[in-house]
Amino acid sequence: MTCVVSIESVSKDYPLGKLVVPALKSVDLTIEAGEFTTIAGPSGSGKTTLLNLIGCVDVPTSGSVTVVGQKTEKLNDTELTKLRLHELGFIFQSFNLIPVLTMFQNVEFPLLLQGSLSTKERRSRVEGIVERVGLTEYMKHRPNELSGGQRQRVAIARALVTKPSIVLADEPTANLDSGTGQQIIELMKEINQREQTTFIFSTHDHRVIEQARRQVYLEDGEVSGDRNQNKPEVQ
Amino acid sequence: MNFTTSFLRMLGDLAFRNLFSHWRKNLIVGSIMCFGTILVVMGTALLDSIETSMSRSIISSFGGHLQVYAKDARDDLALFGEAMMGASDIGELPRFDKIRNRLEKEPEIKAVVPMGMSRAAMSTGNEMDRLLDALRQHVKTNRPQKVKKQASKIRSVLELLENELERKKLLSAVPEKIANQLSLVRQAQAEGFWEKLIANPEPHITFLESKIAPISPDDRLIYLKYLGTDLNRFAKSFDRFEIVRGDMVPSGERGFLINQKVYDKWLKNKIAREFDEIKNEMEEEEVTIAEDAKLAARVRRMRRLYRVVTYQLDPDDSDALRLKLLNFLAEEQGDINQLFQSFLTINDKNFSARYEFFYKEVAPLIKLYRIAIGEYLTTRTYTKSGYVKSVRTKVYGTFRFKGLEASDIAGQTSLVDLMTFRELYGAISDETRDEVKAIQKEIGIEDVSRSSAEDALFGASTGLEEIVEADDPEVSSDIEIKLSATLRQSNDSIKFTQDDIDQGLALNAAVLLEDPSSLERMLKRVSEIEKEENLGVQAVSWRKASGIVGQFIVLVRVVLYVIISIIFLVALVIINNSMIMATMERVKEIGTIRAIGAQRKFVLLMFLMETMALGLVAGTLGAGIGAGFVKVLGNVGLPATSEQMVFLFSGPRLFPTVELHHLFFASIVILLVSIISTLYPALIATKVEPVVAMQAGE
Repeated sequence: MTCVVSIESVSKDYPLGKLVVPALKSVDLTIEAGEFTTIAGPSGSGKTTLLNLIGCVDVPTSGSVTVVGQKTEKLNDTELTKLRLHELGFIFQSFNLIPVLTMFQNVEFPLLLQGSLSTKERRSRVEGIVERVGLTEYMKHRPNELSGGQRQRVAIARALVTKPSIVLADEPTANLDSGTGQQIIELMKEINQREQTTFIFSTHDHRVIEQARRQVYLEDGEVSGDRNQNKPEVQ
Repeated sequence: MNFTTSFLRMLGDLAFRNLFSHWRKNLIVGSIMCFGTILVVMGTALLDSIETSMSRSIISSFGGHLQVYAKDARDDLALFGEAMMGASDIGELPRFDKIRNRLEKEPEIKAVVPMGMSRAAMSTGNEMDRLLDALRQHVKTNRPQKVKKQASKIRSVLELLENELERKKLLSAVPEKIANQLSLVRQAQAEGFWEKLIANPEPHITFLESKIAPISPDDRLIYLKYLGTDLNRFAKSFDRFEIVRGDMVPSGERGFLINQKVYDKWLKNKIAREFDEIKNEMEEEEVTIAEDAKLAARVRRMRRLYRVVTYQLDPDDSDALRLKLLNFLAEEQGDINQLFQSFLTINDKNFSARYEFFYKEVAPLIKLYRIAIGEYLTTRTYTKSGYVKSVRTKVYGTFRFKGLEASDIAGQTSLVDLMTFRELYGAISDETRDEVKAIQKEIGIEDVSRSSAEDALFGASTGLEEIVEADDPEVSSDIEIKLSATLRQSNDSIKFTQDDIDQGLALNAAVLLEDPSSLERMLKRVSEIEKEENLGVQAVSWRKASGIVGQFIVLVRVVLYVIISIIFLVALVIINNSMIMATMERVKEIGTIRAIGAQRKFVLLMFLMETMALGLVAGTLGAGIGAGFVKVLGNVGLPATSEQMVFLFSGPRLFPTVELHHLFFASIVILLVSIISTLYPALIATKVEPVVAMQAGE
């Protein structure tokens, strides 16, 4: 198995007035291709910070983050953006769809940014992924015409449309009722199994945590547990 | 390319959708942009149209396309007056024909018209002078009946004069002087004076002319601008020129053509003029005497002027008019002065009836214009060498420029033949010099210096009335009368030829081109010719030559651009602010777009596209509305509400046209405003970090 994310003694501090609040304290973590991993922990434990570092929207204070073979601290903004565009997919807690675009356009958006596919290719790619998330009949709808679960499916479709190496999801079920949340997790799982796409998501919902094949526990900015179903548990 | 179009379409889509989602804000911003665009389109279209029409006014009235004047001129040529109103020194072209012959060789040049502009004091003699002139005429032609009638007319004027002097005596600071005048007037009214006059007219008429006429009022000088030119060539070259009254000055003769506007404004009987102007104001501006204080003051002023009419009436006419006025006013009694004053007590109700009565019954009895066509005009001017020159010239008629009738700018300058102009200017022709020599021989003066000849010729004593006044024993009046007679004759009956006109002096010359668009080229061509052949001339365009009038449009243009700039500056600030707010509102969306993988420049472009889309919509709308307005105005015509506007509009109405470049200019402006106003907010937007997308909360 190839290693898609490698985190070596990473610390991240946030200034808070005159104080410096450490969000992550010397974290080491590697994630391999095809994993379905949750980063769990109470709020304030540093889940989101860790996800941001993996997602290349933030850089560590010290230590090194390697995403798909690239050391993020060595990249400038343009290169980080490129990396996000081509290798990463994002699913946000509050969906973050562009309200003025239709569902189809929202999903198509990253492809347009990439600019490597023809109109026809784009259309079939988008239609394929939309079908996968089961929203074919809502192609022309605007985000505000869709339910929360539907919106998150659109977000999943948008994250997957570029065929990224890693999909990052920050509390993807937090704004959904438990039934819908379950469906979203099922969908992610299914795609993970079929496409071998790496999924990393943060959550503090126990039912969701249990469904992940690997659970990384964070507490006060440190890894407090890592339960990998493929490997013997290390404590 | 396929990608780029889809990409841009998505950006455009984003932009348009965002516009609609913030429609309230964008409606306001859009309206400002739309208004600005309307203003730009209409303003520039109107100004260009005005400029075109004004150039027509200038070119077709006095200016021509180009003006040439002396290269060594101290001041700039200013045909329509300059800011300082001072007399400018534009040098002179001593031999006009040399310049004309050379320039007319150029195929593009249609005509070269010699010109010289100056100001002069004009007088027609006063009321008494005219009455006495007529009296002398009647005596000469031996018509006793007419002499009698004229005498009684003069006596009634004397009576009025006496009354006035008596009143003046009480108020005057120098009562002795007034008393002296009064005794002279009484002398003329004394018993037996008129019988003696009929028996022996000459000394008595001379007495009246020399002693009484100077006392009597209305001997005002009028300062007039005139243009000396080759009248025939002028009429041919300036196609708007037309004779209104009288005739064109015959070829080879001297003569004055008074501008119709001057004729009506300055030379018409004051009461008649007031009637005209009150009527004009009531009709054009739709004001009433009751409501408009200025108009009411005008009516009161007119009433006080009653004597400019009653003075002129001879006793028979006066009696006849008195009866008519009694009847018209339904009065029982009153003398002519009282009745005419109450006739002049005008209000909104009776105005039109009285206007009609005035022109029907009163006007035929009086001299409606101070100078009638065919009369002589005494123009006095300071010649170049500083002495006063006085020339009597026949007034052949009045003229105007078609379409510019109402304009003071085109209506301030009268025309005179070039020969008379030269004489007033002080250039002595060979002919005059010969005459002076002949006269000198005749009266036995062998050696006269040039300056004393000028004194003798052009000194203060050329006008007839002044000759009689002169009582310097040193100067033989015999010489003077002879000299003056010769001068008057030279004005009157000595004809001149085309060569005389051409082979002499002009101050400047109008150049008319076959094709107006060759103006710039011909301007260069003239300076080339000047460089090669050294004619001593410089050429300027009509705009520069017209002086302050030509600059006026530049001023208006500056004002318009300032207004437009202010409007767009306001738009800029508003757009800038609302876009900053939009950025703040959309931080999360921007963060999301960035997180998904959009570069900073994409965000910049997105924001620019948004205002550019707004600019496009508002600009197109504004340009459409503006062009529509101009089109409507182009059909209906924009009325000129003042005489200055008549000149600018080259007629009573302006029919503006809108051209593609006006719309193009407007779109460039609106595009620039859109871009500049969005730069700062867009820059802020690019600074939004993708990490904000991760922050929870909707």
